[in-house]
Amino acid sequence: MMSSTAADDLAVTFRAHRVELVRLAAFILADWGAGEDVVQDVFARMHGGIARLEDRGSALPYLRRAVVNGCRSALRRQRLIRRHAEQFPCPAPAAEEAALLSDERRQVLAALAALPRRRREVLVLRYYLDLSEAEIAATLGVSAGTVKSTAARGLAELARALREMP
Amino acid sequence: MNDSDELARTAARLRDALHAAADLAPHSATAEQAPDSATAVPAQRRPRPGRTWLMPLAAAAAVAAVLLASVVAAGNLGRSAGTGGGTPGTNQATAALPQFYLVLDYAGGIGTVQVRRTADGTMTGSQALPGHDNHWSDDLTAQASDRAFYIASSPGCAWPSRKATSQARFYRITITGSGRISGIHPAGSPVRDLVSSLAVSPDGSQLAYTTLSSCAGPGSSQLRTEIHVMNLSTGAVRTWQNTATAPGPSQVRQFDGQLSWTPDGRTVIAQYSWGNLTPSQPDHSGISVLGLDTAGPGGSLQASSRVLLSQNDSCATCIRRAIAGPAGSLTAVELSRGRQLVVRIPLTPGQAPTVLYSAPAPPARPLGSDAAVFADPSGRWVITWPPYNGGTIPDGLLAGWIRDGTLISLPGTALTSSLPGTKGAYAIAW
Repeated sequence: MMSSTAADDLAVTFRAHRVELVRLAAFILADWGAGEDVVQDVFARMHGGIARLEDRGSALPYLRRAVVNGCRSALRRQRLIRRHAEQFPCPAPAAEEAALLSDERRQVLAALAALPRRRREVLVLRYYLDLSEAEIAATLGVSAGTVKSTAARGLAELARALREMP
Repeated sequence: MNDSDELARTAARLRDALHAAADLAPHSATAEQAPDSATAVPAQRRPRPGRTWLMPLAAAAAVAAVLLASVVAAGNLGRSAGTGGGTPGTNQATAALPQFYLVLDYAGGIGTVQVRRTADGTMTGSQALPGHDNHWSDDLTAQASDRAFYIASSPGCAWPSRKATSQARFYRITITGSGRISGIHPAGSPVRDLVSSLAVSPDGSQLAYTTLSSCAGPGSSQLRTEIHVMNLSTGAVRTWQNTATAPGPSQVRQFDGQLSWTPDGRTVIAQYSWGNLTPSQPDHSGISVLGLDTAGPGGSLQASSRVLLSQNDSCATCIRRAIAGPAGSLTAVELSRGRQLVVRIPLTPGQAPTVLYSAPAPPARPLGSDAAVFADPSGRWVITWPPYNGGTIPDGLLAGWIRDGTLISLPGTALTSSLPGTKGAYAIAW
């Protein structure tokens, strides 16, 4: 049974950072709804395990890492479903709705969505959450050097993709 | 452009696109609610219709399309419940009252942005702007998502050349559904100029701004007439320049007022002085209000604009400040027969203005900021200050929003002179 203080700490952390966690997941998954589900799952799982966190101040990095891992699991599930995806039609955005984001921004997000998963994760953590290389390394469980090289390759690939877009 | 330039530009575009998309997040995603810690239960997934968005990854573009479909659909939910105000150009008449307003305060000489709840004035967020020695543009400006605002830093000033010593930068301020400041990040590209007025388009994709020719000096002749429109994603800037030579309302002499966008995001409204304006005649009444069609590539201000309204010095009802109103109208502050009015002026010939607010004006003609008027991106909801004698700023005089002819005070908006370093509200947006 978790102590009420630990549960309260978690609730506070969750409340303060839920929005950015949902957006982080949504950008990695390219789907807002799935992003919300991942974050909700993470919260429920972490709620059961908060008492095992030695340093409660590490809750947020732990949450981020859990969200990224949750996204990876969700992507694996999606890949399975996509094998039978012909029966699922792809809804096109309504013209009026699409107008809310400029063409340039749509191109950037499309190019981002086409990047390999690891590069997409690093770029979203860097340019949406503004995490440092060390923080990204801690979130992804890799070295800072790997973060640096992955970010550089991801950015170069993004630039190349944008250059080739009409 | 070399490789490092291109990478820096790509990084800036990526940051801009991510934050713009985040601004359009679904309402459910931005409602900051945590399960009650005492009753937290395993994830209760939202019921959703068939997951038709789980499409083949082979169509990578389709993935992005679905992201965008989700993102842009969410834009319609970005404002408070029951609004219909999220889509620029639609539902202006029923646009919801903005939930929050932002105030730029200079207490202690440091530019600080406060977020306050419209309902009760409670401050829900506050953060110092980056760079303690920066000065900031006269305007804060809001995009229609009700979650993103923009401001420009003013660079330092060299003396006696009065030239900018660094570049002005634009910043996007984002807030959460509960009014917390979630980020202050550079937006668009820096400009080597002093930004005087700026206005973001309702969809947040473009920023219109005007500049000063020098950063200090007597008189007001330093206000340039050009209007620039920056694409916030690419940083590309289009410029419309004053080309008129014939006398008349379109022969603009200097920019005078604040820029605003029509709710459809196509036209920039700009107020200019015209006629024989001199520094000894600051209290002019010869003004023109132009509507600049921003669809073109830039060029002549006059060729791309319509004169929507103009007056000369002999006006009986004198417009002091005009901005975009709901579709097909302007919202203006005017002086008439000893009263200060906020009116809505239809641009359709034959339709009479509607008085939104009226109060006795002091005998001395008020100056400058008393004529300030701000509107939300729909143009419907208006903030102004009650009239006062321009020479004496009453302590604690608050701005308010207009509801049924009355002014509802907005805490935290105590008026100040427009000099940075003075305590009080320096700029407001909602």
